[in-house]
Amino acid sequence: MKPAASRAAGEPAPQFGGGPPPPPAGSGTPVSNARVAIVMLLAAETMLFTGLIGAYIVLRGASADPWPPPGQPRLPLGITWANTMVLLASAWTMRRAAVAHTRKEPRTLRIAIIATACLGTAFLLIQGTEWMRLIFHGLTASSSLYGATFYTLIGVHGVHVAAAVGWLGAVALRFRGDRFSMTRAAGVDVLAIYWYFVCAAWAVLFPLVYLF
Amino acid sequence: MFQWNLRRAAAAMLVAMIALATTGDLLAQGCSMCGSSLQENGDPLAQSISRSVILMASMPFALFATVAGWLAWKLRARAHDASGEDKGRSEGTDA
Repeated sequence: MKPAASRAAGEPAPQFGGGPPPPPAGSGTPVSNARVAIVMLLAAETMLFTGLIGAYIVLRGASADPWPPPGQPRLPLGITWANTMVLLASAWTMRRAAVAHTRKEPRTLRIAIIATACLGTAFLLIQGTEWMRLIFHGLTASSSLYGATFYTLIGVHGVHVAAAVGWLGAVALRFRGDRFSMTRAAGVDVLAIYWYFVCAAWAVLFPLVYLF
Repeated sequence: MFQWNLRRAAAAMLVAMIALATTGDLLAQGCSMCGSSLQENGDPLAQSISRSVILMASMPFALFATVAGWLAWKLRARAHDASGEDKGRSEGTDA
């Protein structure tokens, strides 16, 4: 800070105790580093899913038998529709969490994060039950091309959901003991983007694998 | 300035799309192996390989366009906010 004695006669006194002037509006980066990082990760994930979907399309077209092959169990549609609704509901609760984070409402944020984690866990449990029933009826990864492509595509998505649920759990644990800071919580913003991606991937995989 | 650049980019993209759409026969001559092995009408394997190739080839461009559009939108919103702040500041000074 420039002392008052050395200041020129016409120079105005510095406001807020002096120091460097604030940067002009619009001079910083428009997107945070955390957001750029998650977008790069999701671009790679999108290419992973694209490769798997491309392989699924080719293998399905190469199959001489009708799809699904005779003698193989059909995929359960009713329970999977319900599971899809569970995942869509979790996207809504995640949206609520992101809005609460923006508005600095820690109580709503905590409730929405825990609700999203519960819905994601429910999705995984329902899918696990569905897989157990399919394996019991003879559809395994090695039983046919149908089973291999089904378990690979849906399994990779399930791993992503499980990772996101683990992340949600880690954020929810930070609420205990006041270790969560509303001002330094870029993780919530990034987690919301990741969760939307997981839901959007399911919106592509469900019609592709179950409906068509 | 930024709006003008965006319009020019959109116009260039439109011209490129029209050019690509009207040269379909020429582009189809590009790969003789693909032409001989995957152009059998009604073959489900050929059709599925073509669909898969289109999907995997178009996805990087779609990703790039999405991310670039998102960044452009963010930059534009930021520039809009900054101009609004400057305007408000100058009005406050005038008052």
